[in-house]
Amino acid sequence: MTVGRTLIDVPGHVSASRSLVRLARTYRYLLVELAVRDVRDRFAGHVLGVVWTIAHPILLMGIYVGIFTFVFPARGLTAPGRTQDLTVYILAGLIPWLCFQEVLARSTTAITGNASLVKQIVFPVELLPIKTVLGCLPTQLVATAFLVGLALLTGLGSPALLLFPVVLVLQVAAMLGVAFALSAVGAFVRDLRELVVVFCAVNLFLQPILYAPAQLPRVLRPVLWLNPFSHLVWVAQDVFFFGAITHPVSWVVLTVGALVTLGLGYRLFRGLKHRFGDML
Amino acid sequence: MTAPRTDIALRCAGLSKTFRIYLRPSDILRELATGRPHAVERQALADVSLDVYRGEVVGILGRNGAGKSTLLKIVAGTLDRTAGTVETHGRITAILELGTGFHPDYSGRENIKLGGLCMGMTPAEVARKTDPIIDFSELRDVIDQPFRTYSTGMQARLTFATAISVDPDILVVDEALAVGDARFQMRCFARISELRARGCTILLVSHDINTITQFCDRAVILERGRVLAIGTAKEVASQYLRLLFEPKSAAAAAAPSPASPASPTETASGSSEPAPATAGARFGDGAMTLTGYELLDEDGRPIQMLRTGQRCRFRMTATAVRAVEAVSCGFAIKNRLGTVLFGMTNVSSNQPMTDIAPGERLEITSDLVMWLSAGDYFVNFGFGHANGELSDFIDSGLHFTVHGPGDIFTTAVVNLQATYRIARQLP
Repeated sequence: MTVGRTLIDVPGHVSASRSLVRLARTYRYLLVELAVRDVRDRFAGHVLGVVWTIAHPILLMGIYVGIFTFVFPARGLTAPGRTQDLTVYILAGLIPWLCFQEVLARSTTAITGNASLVKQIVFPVELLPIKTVLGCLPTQLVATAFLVGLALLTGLGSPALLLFPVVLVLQVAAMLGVAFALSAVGAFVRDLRELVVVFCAVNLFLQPILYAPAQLPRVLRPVLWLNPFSHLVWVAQDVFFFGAITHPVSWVVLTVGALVTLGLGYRLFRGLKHRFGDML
Repeated sequence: MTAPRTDIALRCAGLSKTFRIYLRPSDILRELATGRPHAVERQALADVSLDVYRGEVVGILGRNGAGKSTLLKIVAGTLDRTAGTVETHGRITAILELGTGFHPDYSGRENIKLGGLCMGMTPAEVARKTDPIIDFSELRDVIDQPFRTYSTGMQARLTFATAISVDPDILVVDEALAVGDARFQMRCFARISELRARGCTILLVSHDINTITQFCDRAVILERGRVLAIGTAKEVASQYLRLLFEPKSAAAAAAPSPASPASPTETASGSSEPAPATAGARFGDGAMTLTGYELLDEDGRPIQMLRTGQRCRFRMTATAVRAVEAVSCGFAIKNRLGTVLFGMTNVSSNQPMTDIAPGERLEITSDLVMWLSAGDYFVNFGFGHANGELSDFIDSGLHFTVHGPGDIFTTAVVNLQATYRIARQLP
């Protein structure tokens, strides 16, 4: 079966997604428990503990707002004159990317880092990448709540904000697909983690997050269009900044891309998972 | 043979497992790129077929690296097979390693919750069973402390208590019980018997022959990934002992039709001067050389296994290299811990010491009745001078195994050939 055929194998993707939903339903309690622990473990031993789950993104957002408002002067952006708007513009794209980046970095070790679970007990390994994705979400949700507040304050709030759940679902689907693929491959090629870290550092600048596409030299603009992550940024900017669907192509790309990524990622994971036991 | 049974709980057919070991991680990429294998293959299991019926307890014996754990992991589903089929009927729980799936930083209580959920329980079920689990593990005092602070035995207790709380249909246990203290082991086995009475099928790996003979209906010997023997626990256990301590029958493991139990006589070396097989340290000034030592049965055949109460003979021979005045010689039987349980020399038996000339041979025989209890024993042989200096001494030159009487403590050292009567007396 060629890669191209697999890509458009819609029935295959649908049945894969269905079995995934069934699995998540069967193990919903364990999944919730694992995700909660995932969040809690990150701050295990901290004095404030779980409070950091909320405090961390709020502090981070506060710092970004300060920098974008006072340090970087707003220039050449679509909403000139009002520096707070630049903040909303940047945060709209930055927040989903930060979450996605965390998923990318952490999913490479989702299997190898839980060797004891994979090796020793009868445990549905599929839960590990899912748990990783779920564990990254609280930060984004808190940060998004902050952003919604900021958008409303600066008068950028619009009915388009109601589209956020749709974007979130698509983003989660894409993150799940990527997490399945990276965790499976990461079990065999441990170097993947380093590659992903470098990719994340570079990719921040290959998306229209910190600048407007118009600010980029014309020759470099196709890079933005070819970068799948850009479309998530544009869609998020539509919701929080533009207040309307101004990038219809990106909405289509994101929807199709997320579902295909999920299908492919999960199928790759299922194909490789039988060999995890040999590798750990 | 009885008619084929239909209530199969677990069936392995033609099960094989080959591990592909990549010496360098880059070999994986090289293999993917070129399509040519770059891995070292190691066959852990080869064509293993095994049927286990409902309510049966089957023990798995085998030396280190024989494939026992691999088999259990495949049965439990944590490892994929290379070929063959595994068929299981019912909820299966495995205790494969200590603290399986338990997080070292979580408290015992949190680990019970997580472990229970991993095994497919609902939160309500877990909540209901937490207290019984804590009671069974007897860890109430420390249950809220991190798992890593527990001793090995405590970890085993919590692991076991959690694993059996799900009322499995099939329980797979891999030596996890060996680390618990005697009291906890006893309670585990009581619980296992209880599960078995309820129809639970149990697959057990143990190195302890007594565990196998007492708890298992049947046993299997694995050797180099193959089934060497399947049969009743008692038969297979004694076959396993022979396998362990006799290099010859170990070599037979690779034989094409290994299932027929080797007869004890096959193990005779045939030579009148048996070579030291399991010898430990050997030292002395070389004035005499031990040329042979052996344990013989009533018919004069060399043996390494005997029943308690069996007549037997120790025989050792030595040749003088130099002239020795007043030779002293003897042997001593030690247990596994090295405690000398029995010993005799010409001095202790009030025999006159002889002087021997170079080239002269000396043969010493000692007839005795083996009243030691079941266990493994080692024999030292030695020749020396009257002043106690050694001319040739071999530590643990011989190893032999005694089958105990089934009716006394397994910890007994000797068999006192006892009877046991209870008389009721009316008031």
